[in-house]
Amino acid sequence: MIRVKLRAWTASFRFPTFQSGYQPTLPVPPPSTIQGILSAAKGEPVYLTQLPYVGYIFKSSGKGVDLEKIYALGKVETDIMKREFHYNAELYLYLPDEWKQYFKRPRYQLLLGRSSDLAIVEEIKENISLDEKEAPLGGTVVPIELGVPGMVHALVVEYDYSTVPRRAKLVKPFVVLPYPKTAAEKRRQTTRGFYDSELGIGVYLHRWSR
Amino acid sequence: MRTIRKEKRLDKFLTKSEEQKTQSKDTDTTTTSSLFTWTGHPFTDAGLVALLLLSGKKKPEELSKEDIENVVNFASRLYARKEWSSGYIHAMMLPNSGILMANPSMAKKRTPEAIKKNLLSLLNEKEDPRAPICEICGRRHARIKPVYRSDFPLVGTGGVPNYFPSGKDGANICSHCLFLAQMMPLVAYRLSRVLIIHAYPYQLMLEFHKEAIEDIKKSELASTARDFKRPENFLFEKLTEIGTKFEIGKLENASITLYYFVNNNQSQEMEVIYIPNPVLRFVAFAARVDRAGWKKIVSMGWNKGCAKRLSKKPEEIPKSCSNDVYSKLLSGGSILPYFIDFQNRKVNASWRLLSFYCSEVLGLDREALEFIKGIADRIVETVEKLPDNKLSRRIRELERAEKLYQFESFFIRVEKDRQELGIPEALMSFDDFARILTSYGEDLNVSWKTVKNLLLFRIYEKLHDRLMKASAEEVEAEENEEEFEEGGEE
Repeated sequence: MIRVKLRAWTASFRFPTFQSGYQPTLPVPPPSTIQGILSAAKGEPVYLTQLPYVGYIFKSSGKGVDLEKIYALGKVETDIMKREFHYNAELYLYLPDEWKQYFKRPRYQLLLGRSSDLAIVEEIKENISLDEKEAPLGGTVVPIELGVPGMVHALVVEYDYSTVPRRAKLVKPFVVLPYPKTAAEKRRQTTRGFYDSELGIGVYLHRWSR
Repeated sequence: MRTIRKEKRLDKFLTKSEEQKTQSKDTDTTTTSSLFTWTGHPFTDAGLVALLLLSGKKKPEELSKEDIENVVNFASRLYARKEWSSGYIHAMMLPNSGILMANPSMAKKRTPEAIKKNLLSLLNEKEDPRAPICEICGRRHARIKPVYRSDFPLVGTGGVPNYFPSGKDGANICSHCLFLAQMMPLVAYRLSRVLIIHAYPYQLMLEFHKEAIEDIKKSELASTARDFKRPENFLFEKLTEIGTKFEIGKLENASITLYYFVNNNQSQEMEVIYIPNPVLRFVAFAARVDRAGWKKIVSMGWNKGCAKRLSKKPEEIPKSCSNDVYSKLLSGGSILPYFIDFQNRKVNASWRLLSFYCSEVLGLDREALEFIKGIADRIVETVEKLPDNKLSRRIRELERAEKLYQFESFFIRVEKDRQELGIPEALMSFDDFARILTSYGEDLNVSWKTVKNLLLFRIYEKLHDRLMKASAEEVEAEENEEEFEEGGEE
């Protein structure tokens, strides 16, 4: 298993249906954003339901709100939108070994959300070993069935890119878990799972191929 | 704390392809056989809550076609009225809605029958297998007709199509999810914006929105949430009420998110307020175990300017003013100082409630809490032997400790007191001293100031009467001194 660390000045993960006037950001990227990042790195559509596993941890230094000028498509008109964004964002991806080559030389630019949220590959670490134990989860989404309390929201797991426009292939409700900042938060989000001792955080490995 | 089993390496997990362990908790998220399911989306789940509450059912699979038709009849009759149509649906939720005929140009044609026909036609709409799947429920195919914010709040308009895939087709939402969104106005609370309380487990959501349906049955108008102006104040009020009914264990994995929005032609705003699980459990615990204490804690948090303005209408304060206790609980700050009335040197709540707050919300482990309590009891054992004036002065040193060295000096003085009073054994060992000063400093919420507040809580709890008596004597003495000094100057 490898662990890829991405870093970006800003990141923004829109709630799937809140796009008028004010766009709040999800606390962590939805699975479909991870699909987008993997696809950009590889240079072709990647489907999470075909990967043996994928895990991710996201954290940022804080949030802010940006005023964004929009040039409406198809007409000479502009609008101002308020968009919430994460500042100083980090994303750790846990992937099978073969993904090293794609992140070493990504085919397209990697984005943590929108086109302005440009990310760089800061580190690719090989031979990552995770232990199974009681571990605090966070900075990720987990299935509701796991029983960890958090914000529940319906999210697209992956899109089918064989058509234009793209189409959702799999949609599920998830528990959206922010990265725990304090010992108290860590305790709230602790469950049995895999643990990255180097980062001190639990890693939920999604296996949608099942 | 759960027992940690023997650790297993990741490679074993990968090679054996063992099922990733999931606790089979109370999930009810996907029941493919029923017409509707919980989706995780606040607006469609709210619509489902309306169907369930009006039908007296608890689960989506219990809903019959007759139930749905009855609710549609009920909703259509209300939606055809001006108070609902232009005054609420068009003005706050679904501007120019064609389905609910809230578009002002439809006023003449708007009848309960016409609205009912539109609603039922959504349920009978044929699916096109060539259409993408619904991005909310993932079960059905999206509607062929574009879905814009006039039919589903906040999804965007055709006027600014930048955020739709392909830039022109609207949101991919199925006719059933769209139908549920049309039921949402029945359970939404109407404050200055629209409030939806999205809760999990979903049974909790039924509890939170029951009041809206009861209000509609009484007045045939949308619930105004008892005229609360602030969504979080309403939520905490309801949580206190619901908390008395719920056992804490039932809230173990519960979560609540408030969606407070407005969606009309002038503006679209959205505020997402997440209520952390420990906060839910703490408020429910407070409501069951020490309601009077919780009330006192809350009463200390009201914005002073606002509370002063509304002093002639005190019943308005909880509805209109902001409260520091609520905001701190929601933002992860500590409300420990609100457990103590520093001015009157007394506690606002029981040690039991304080202990629950410290362990469940602040994350202080029970062992640490018991350790601090033990130290506080030994301080009390020492200072209660001092004369009143000296006792008050000693405790004031702790109250006024703003820097770590001042906090440290307090313990040294108490240690000296113990020696002078001939109390056997030291107040604490060197290790304890180091622990109390430095061990709780890493987490902002659990710093030495937390320890100071906990010590003061225990001291006030045990010595309130003597401290107040001593304070009164001090004030009297100071006044006499002033009189004397003034006399001297003359």
